Amino acid sequence: MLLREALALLRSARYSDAHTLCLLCSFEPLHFKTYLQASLVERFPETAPRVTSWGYDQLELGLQESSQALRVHPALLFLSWGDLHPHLSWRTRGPLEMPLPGDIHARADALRERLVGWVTARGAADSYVVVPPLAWLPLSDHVAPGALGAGSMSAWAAMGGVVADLAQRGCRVLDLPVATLNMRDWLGAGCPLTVEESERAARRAVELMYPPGERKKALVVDLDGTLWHGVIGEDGPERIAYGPEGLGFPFHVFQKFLLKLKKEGALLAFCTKNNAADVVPVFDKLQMPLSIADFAAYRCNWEPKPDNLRAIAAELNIGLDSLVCVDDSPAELALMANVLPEVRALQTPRSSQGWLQLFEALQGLFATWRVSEEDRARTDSAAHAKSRAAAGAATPVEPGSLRHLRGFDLELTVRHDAFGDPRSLELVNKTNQFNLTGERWSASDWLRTQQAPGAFCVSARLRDRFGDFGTILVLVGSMRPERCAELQQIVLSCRAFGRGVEAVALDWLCRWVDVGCVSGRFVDTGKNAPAAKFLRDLKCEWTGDGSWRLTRPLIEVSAKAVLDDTGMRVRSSDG
Amino acid sequence: MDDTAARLERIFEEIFWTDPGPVSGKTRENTAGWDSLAHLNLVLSIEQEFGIALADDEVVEMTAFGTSLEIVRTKLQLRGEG
Repeated sequence: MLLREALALLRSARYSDAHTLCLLCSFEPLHFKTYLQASLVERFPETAPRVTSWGYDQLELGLQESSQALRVHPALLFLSWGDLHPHLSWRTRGPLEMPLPGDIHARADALRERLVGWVTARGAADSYVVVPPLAWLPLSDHVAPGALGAGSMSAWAAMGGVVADLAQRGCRVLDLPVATLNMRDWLGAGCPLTVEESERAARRAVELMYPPGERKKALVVDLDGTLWHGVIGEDGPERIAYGPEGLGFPFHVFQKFLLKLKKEGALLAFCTKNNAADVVPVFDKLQMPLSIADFAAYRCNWEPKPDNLRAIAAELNIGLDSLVCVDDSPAELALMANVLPEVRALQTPRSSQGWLQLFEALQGLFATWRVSEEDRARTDSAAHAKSRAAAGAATPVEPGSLRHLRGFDLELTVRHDAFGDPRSLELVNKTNQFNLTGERWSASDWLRTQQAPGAFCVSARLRDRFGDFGTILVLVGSMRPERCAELQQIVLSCRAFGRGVEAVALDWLCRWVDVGCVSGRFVDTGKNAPAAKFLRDLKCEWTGDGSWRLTRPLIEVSAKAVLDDTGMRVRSSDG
Repeated sequence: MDDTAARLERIFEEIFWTDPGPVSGKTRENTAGWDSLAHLNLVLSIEQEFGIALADDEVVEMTAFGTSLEIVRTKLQLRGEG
């Protein structure tokens, strides 16, 4: 996009009154700000967040305002070397000599203290930091351009240390594609970025801060030609290659990469056209990085792959649009694209360079800023679900009753101050089926909700004798004067469906805040039928615009039935 | 009007949209909003549009539509496009 086109776009754009992006730097952001705003307008054509910036000599003011009045809004801090030490800039009024390492470290400590204070004051708001490129350092060392002297390395290490500290405190670090210094605009106007790099960097920043798609939940891989080199049914297990050398090496690395994704919360599954007897009994004997227990589900048969993917999604209780599949067969990929266009299908590479592209694509689809306790336990949780299903099958299910769960030792732990738990917002934003409105909230929406008068956020964690479900329910709302709680959202993880947890949690809420009714709004998203069914089953009153109301006696009756049937214990996390 | 002048006019219209009116007579003195930021946007837009790099003295001399057009034409002629 040409600069004049970006400027024209900004003139005709519609801006949000509620959403702002704070841009902080100690240089003049100029065209970077223009392109940042233009990228936001392209990303949110209806109501773009407005970029508010603090440039030359205003960094401290920006740090203050973005941690006070504008605290709830996302903030992007673009550091430059001069923030570390004023001599680390071509614009310095001091000498162009590399400061002594001790001086750099002392100033780094001061910068760290200031920025840690900023991140801490911003709390749960989204804070991003950009590390300056080495190309912005002046040639202050005695070595040739392209070489790095001890001074430059000290500056680099000190800046890295400051940013690493911020990252450990939840600040998100962006590596933007900036590799040159625009000397003319740097000296003339105080902006170190070229116009071309401004556009690329701004686009990347918006992609990372406002990702276009939701994080995927499960990765289904083919086996032959994808998890190993060769065809197990024809070559035999002894002739397929998957070790850390030769033809098997990329597959070995791929398996280790899948294991990494699993530890970060992705559910793994495989789907292969093979005889189960050729694969399942020998899988763990192969001693590959992956073992069969790493897979939450698998299908090993000769059925059409789209049918198998549907079955895997059903078994994992997730939507098809949360699936990614990797397969080496163009014909299978074409079939899936045709029959299941909502599944993201990727081809196994044929060249080593292609593997890197595949890893980057998968990393992007499963990326998260934070790996939660629930992420780490997800595959175990799927295995527990199988144990529960097997145990549940032994007891007949009576319609309308939960007595078959009586021996499961269900325990629900309710937390009242759940606004401060990052898992609460994560669950609100990833739950599709039991979700009142389908609305997705940014961190700033979440903070604004929290600040509303009478706001509450209650979450619940479920355990049974098979394992820990983690936090599976979140109730968000606010108190109304007429002793009624108005719910903005109820979400329940699909893993905890069918246990009556939602009725018990609502009952707890009524008693905790002492209200006579609960009301809210329901929006049909096409995916949230379980939430509608819950409201109907509790016999709520509906009004024409999707609003609903439940009286406390109705909730109490429903919760009592659940507690009587299941023997569920309920306690507060406060003890 | 030749193509170079038409393209430059469009840039002036877009950068100085707050000051509508004939572009050909615009100068830094008589054009509302022609501040240092707008000047930088003008320079960068001209460089992008014509694929040229302006020298520092040319950036300083570019204080009117007429001088801007002369500078751009000279640059394009040197490149064999004028």
